[in-house]
Amino acid sequence: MTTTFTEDAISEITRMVWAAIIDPSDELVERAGEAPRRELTGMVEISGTWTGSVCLGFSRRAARQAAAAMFGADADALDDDEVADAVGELVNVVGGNLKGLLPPPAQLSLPSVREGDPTTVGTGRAELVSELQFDWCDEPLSVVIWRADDAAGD
Amino acid sequence: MHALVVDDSRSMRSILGRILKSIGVEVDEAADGADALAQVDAGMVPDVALVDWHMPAMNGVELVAELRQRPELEHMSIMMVTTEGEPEQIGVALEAGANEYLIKPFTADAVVQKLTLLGKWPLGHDTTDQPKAGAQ
Repeated sequence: MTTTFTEDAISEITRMVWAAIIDPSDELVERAGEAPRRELTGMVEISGTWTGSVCLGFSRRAARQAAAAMFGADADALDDDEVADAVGELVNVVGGNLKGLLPPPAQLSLPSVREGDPTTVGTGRAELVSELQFDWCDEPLSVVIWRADDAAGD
Repeated sequence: MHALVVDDSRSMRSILGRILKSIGVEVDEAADGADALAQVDAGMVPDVALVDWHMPAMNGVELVAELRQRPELEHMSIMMVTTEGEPEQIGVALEAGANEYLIKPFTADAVVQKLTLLGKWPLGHDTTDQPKAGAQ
């Protein structure tokens, strides 16, 4: 099937998640142009009527600030595992809500977090179908959607 | 009131824990289904369990079904807290024994609203609970 996610839907869901989990007053600002390098990527995979991956890419500082909001702690007090946990949960919630836009059946994987940019972490045969960039607290954040090539043309 | 928060994400447990503690609820945490079952098997009888769906080894629906096998937890309410918002999935969770359903992301107000629907809030409304000092 040709179902994909519109940029409006990706933006709306990401903003909703940020407002609820991070802070309603911390606005995400969409940005255009070449993206700064993002250093940490959270990813969930969706399989079913649409198969692919949803990634959230962060600078290290953005990831730590997001984790600080989620843990209610000072950013400098968090260890790397806590930062990775927060990134994983954020991509789980964004990916899970995007999955809800798909016709069933659709399954969501557990999140994974890895070093690197979300446009380069794709493994195997996958097509980058969407990349939405934001600035948050003057730090880069992006939502990147990969579609599994096996699903292309169905 | 005593709540058990079951989620493999430490950050999500922290968020839910802060919300619950802010309204005077005593909170314990479990990192997965096995941890939750170990705690109840050791004698914990929470008034409400907040259970994530997607967890490694045992998912939240499987945990709900396990908890519902324990007669000592007959009066414990179970709230699924998950991104799984499709009606079919909600039906699966309710069929397994969940009483309420909260979709991530949620607000603090939504958590309190669900506790109210379960008869667990305000504290003291449920005759099995006693208000705690400082509770709102």
